[in-house]
Amino acid sequence: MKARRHLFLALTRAGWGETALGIRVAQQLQHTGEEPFFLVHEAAGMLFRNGTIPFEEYSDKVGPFFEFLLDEQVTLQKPASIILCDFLTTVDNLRLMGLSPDILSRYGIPIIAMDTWNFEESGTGVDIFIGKTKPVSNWIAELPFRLAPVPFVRPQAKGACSFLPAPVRLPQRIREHVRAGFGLSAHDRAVLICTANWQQTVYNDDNGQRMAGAVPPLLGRYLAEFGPSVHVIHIGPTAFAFEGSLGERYHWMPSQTSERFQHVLGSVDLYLSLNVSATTMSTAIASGIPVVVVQNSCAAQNVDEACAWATFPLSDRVRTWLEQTTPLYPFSMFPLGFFRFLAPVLVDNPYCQAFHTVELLDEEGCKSTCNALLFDRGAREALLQAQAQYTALVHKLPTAANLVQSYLERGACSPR
Amino acid sequence: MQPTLSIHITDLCNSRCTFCVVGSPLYTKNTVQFGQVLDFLKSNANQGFWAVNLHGGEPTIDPHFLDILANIRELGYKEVHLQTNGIKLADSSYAKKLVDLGVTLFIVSLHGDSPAMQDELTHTPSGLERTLEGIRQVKALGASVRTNTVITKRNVEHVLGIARLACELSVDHVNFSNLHPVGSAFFSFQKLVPPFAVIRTHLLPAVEHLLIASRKVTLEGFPYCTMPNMESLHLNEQGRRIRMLMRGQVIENYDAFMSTSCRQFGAPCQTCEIREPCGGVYNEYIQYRGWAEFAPLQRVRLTSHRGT
Repeated sequence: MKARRHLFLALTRAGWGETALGIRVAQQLQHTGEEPFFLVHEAAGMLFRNGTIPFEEYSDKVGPFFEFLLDEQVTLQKPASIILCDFLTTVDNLRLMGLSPDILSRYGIPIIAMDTWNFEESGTGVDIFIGKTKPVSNWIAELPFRLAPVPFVRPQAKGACSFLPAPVRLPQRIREHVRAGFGLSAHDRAVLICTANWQQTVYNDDNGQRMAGAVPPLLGRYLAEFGPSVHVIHIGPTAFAFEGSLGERYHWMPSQTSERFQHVLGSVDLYLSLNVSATTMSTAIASGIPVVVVQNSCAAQNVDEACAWATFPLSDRVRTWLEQTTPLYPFSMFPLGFFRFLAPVLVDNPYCQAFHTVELLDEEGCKSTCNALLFDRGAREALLQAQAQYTALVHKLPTAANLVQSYLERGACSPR
Repeated sequence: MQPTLSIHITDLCNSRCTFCVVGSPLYTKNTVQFGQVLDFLKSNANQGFWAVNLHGGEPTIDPHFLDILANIRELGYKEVHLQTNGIKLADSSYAKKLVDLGVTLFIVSLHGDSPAMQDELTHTPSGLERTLEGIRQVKALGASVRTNTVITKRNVEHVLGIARLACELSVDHVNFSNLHPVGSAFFSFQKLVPPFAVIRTHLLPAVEHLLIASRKVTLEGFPYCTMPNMESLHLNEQGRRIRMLMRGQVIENYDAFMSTSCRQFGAPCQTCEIREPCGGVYNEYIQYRGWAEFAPLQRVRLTSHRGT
C-alpha cells in the first residue's frame, strides 16, 4: 500500500515551539511508514537541517503569493491531510500574509489542527501585556479533529495525545566533554535558560518593552548569588545583560540545531524557564532534568500594590526593582503575558507536578528552590520522581500519529 | 598543487580537544564504513589524484588504518598525507611501519609550546611529550612534517613559542588554523575563540620568525581581511583540488564546499575585491559575533613603470 503523505504547515516566524511540536508528530508518522512534508517559514529552517523530514522553506517575501505555493505543494504532494502547527500561529500568519484561513478548506483535504492551548479550556482571548486581549479565531470551532499536545495540556483534553519527545541521555564521557567546553569542572553546576525570538524582540508596547528589559537583569542578579560554582548557559537570539552580575559564569549561545541543543540540554543540571509552555521544557522533563518555571502572578500599579499582593517578604532588591518597573502585569509566558488565558489550562494539570514554579518577585523562594535542585540530592530526587510519574501517565495516551491515523480512517475530519 | 583525495576514516580519537572540528569526543562509536573508504579509493584510482590525505578523528587508532595504507599503495597513489595527533608515532617501530607503507607527509597537531598548554587543550595527559617524540621519529625516518596549530584564547599568546618549537624540531611546514566553531568547538566558542585583532597581534611575529628560519608557513580558514598583507600565505591560495569522502558523502571540491556551505559573506564583503579567494567567514562565527570585525579589502595595484 502506498504511504500516505501529510502536509504540515509551520508558518510561525517568531519561535520554534510549534514547529518543533509538528516535527514530533511527523517523526511519529514516519515511524509508522507515513510520509510527512513541511512547508516552513525560513525562521525555523534550522530545525530541519541534518534531519530526515523533507521540507520547503519560504520567506516573508512570498506575501499573499503563499496561496500559490500552497496550491503547488498540494498538487505535488497529494497529501492525505493538512496538519496545522499550530492552529493559532497558522491563522495569525496567514492573516499577516493577507490570506484567510478559509483557503485551506478549498482542497477538500482533511485539516488537523494542533491545539497547543486547548481552546475549549483556555477561552478565546489571550491577555497580552497590560489591558490588551488578542482574540482567537472562531474557525477552531469548525475543526473537529485536533491534536492537543501532552505535555502541555491535560490528558483529558479533547484530542489529547502524547507529544513526549525521546529522552536525551548522554554518556558521562560526552557530558563531561561538553561541560569542559564551557569551562565547567566536575563540581560545577550548569543552569540552562532558553529564549525564543518572540521573547527577545522589540515590542510595540511600552509595558511589554519595559518588562522585556527589566526581568533579565533581576534574574541575573538572583543567579549570580547561587554561588561561584553555578554557571548559566543561555541559548537565545541575543545575549542577556547578565555579564555584569555573572561574569565568565554566563555563557550565551545562539539558537542552534536540535542535535547541538540536545548536547547542551543533556549536560546541564537544571532548566530554568520563563515560558511555562516551552517545548524545550518537555524535553527536559522527559530527560530527567529538573525544571523550574519563573512566572509573575502579580498585577500592580505600584510598589504598595505589589507589597499588598505578596504573601512572601519582598527583598530590598525587589522593592527597588519594583520602583523602577511598575506597573507590573502577570505573565506565564515572559514577557507577553498569557497568564489569565493559561490559568484554566494549568489548574490541576498533572504537567505542573513535573516542575517547580517560582514567583519572580519572591527572591528568596526563587533562590532556595533552584539551590535545592542544584545541590540537595533529596530535593532533586523528589522532583525527578514526580517527572517520572508524569511521563508514565503521558505514555499511556495515544501518540499523535495514532490519532491522525484514526481521524483519517474515520474519514470525517474535513471542515464542517 | 597536485589533486588530492581526502578521506575521513574514523570519528573516534584518543585525544579530547575541546575545539575538535569533527566533534570526535561527541561520538561513542565510529560511523565510518571501511567498505565505503575502499570503494572511494578504488573508484578514484588512476583518475589523476596524486595524493591521499587521511584524517579523522585519529586515523592511527582505527583498526583498518594499516589496511587502508596498504590499499592506497596497491592502487598506485603516489603520496599519503596523514593528519594525526602524533601520539602513536612516538613508538619508533610503528612510525617506521607507516613510512614503509608510504606515508610521505605527517600533518601533526601542535597546539601548545608546553605540556600544560597542549595537554589542557587536548585533554590528553602526557600528550605533548609523545607528540614531540613522534615528530622526531618520523623526521629521523626522512618523512616531511607539517604542524597544524589551531589558534585559541589559550594558546594565542604562545604562537611564537610554538613556531620556535616547530623550528627546533626541524618541521618543514607550519600551518596556523582559524578555529572552525563546529563539532565540539561550537560549545566552547566563548571560552576559546579570540578576536581576530588579538590573533593578528601574535601571529605576525610567529610568521616572521618562520619565514626568517626558511620554513614554509601557511594560514587556513582566516578571512583575508583579518590578516591583511598575508594573502599569499592562505592555504587555499595554492590552487588546491581536493575531493573528499566524509561519512559516506562525497564532496567534489572541498574549498568550494567550505565556501558555500560552511562560510558566508556579509555586508563588508560586498565591496571587497578579494572576496572570491577568501571564501568568507565561518557561519557560526557570525552567529556568535556578527560582522563588526570585518572590512572590505582592495587588491594592491601594481604600477607599471614601462613606457613612462
